[in-house]
Amino acid sequence: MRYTFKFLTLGFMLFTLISCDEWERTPNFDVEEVEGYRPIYATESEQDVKTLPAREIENPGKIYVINEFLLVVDQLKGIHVFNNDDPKNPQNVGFIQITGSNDVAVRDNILYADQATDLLAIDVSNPENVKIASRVKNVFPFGTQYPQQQGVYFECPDPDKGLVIGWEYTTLNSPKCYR
Amino acid sequence: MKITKLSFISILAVLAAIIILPSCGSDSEFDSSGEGRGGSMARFTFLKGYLYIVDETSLKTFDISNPENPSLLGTEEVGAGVETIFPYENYLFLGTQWGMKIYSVENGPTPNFLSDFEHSFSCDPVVVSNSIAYVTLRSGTTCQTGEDRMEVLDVSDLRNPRLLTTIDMQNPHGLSVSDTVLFVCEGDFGFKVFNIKDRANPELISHYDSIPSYDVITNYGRKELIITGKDGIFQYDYSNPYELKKLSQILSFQENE
Repeated sequence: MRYTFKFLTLGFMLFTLISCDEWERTPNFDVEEVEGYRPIYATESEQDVKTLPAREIENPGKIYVINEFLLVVDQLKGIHVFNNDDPKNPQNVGFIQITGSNDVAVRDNILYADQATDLLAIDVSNPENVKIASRVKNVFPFGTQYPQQQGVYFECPDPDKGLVIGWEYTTLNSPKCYR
Repeated sequence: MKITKLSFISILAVLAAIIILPSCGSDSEFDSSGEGRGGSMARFTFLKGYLYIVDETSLKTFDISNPENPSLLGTEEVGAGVETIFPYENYLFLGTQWGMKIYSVENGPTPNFLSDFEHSFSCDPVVVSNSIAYVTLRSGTTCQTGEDRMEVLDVSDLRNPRLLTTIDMQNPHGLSVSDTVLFVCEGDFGFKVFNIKDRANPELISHYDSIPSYDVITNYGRKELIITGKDGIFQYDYSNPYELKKLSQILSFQENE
């Protein structure tokens, strides 16, 4: 599945410049080789929203409590579901793959999550087989289109390469993005 | 009773099933009815059946009466650097890089701006309890001018928040209030427990410096708290806030450490 993202990096640059006016040091884009972040893109199989077997937490992010369940966002990867009926012994019961996600909220068997620039409503009434009920495009114009770190150079994401699921710190060649 | 080979095998099979089933989650029906609760770092919240989302510069209102077709009722431009949203009674408290903003949904789902409380440029979630707002400000943001501290504000007059006191912090992130106890995440510096019986003067009870913490959710009914941080998920019993009892931990595997 292909996503078309609005290419907003330039807008974002301007936005940070305006929002911080004299505080923001204007980055120098005449750099050639510099340390910075390169986007990691999701593979074809990582694009689907689906239930997978329980797995270990890699990069824990936000948490959410619904009834006796504890949801733990694995940043940009998906949501771990724990049965937390006994907090002394939380049971890892499954993983909902939502590539490019950081936030979650649940109401009446619908799980709302961000996926890069889109808002998803996911029907979790059958947790073994979750289904996308709807997708609202471009709710998050900035999405996951930049690394979490600030004051860094990064390689501008290429929307044609798919969803960004992470960032690796490496040597970049003449990066065009900075935040 | 003589155990035959066959029944022995079937016992084994049953045991195996018991061990394997929980890992597929099929024995534990995921009950996701009703509404859940997020932490103070949340960008999504529900209020009166509507979904509110903050994203960088805006506050969006969604009618989710039909999840197959959520409709955007409105987008409120709230200025740059909106990071968190917290529901309290009929109000939404936004943590932005410029300060705390208060919106009302008393007169309909689309939020009305009531007031803001500006501070220096920092990241900041906010939580509210009994007309007192606790706002954490942390440095390390885009403009690097922020200070690390917590502000305690009287919001009994929503149109005119008043600063009661300021407490120096190390690198505060999420926070949670439970009656007379306040938990504050200090990022890599661990987490802190405050006694807030005297609401205007939080008193530090303890500092757990070995558990990196990003956000926290408390369950007042069970006096339990859940902390999330880069090392994993840690749960405590805080029936005695002066002596937290660790219940469990779910460690993350650190690929990039």
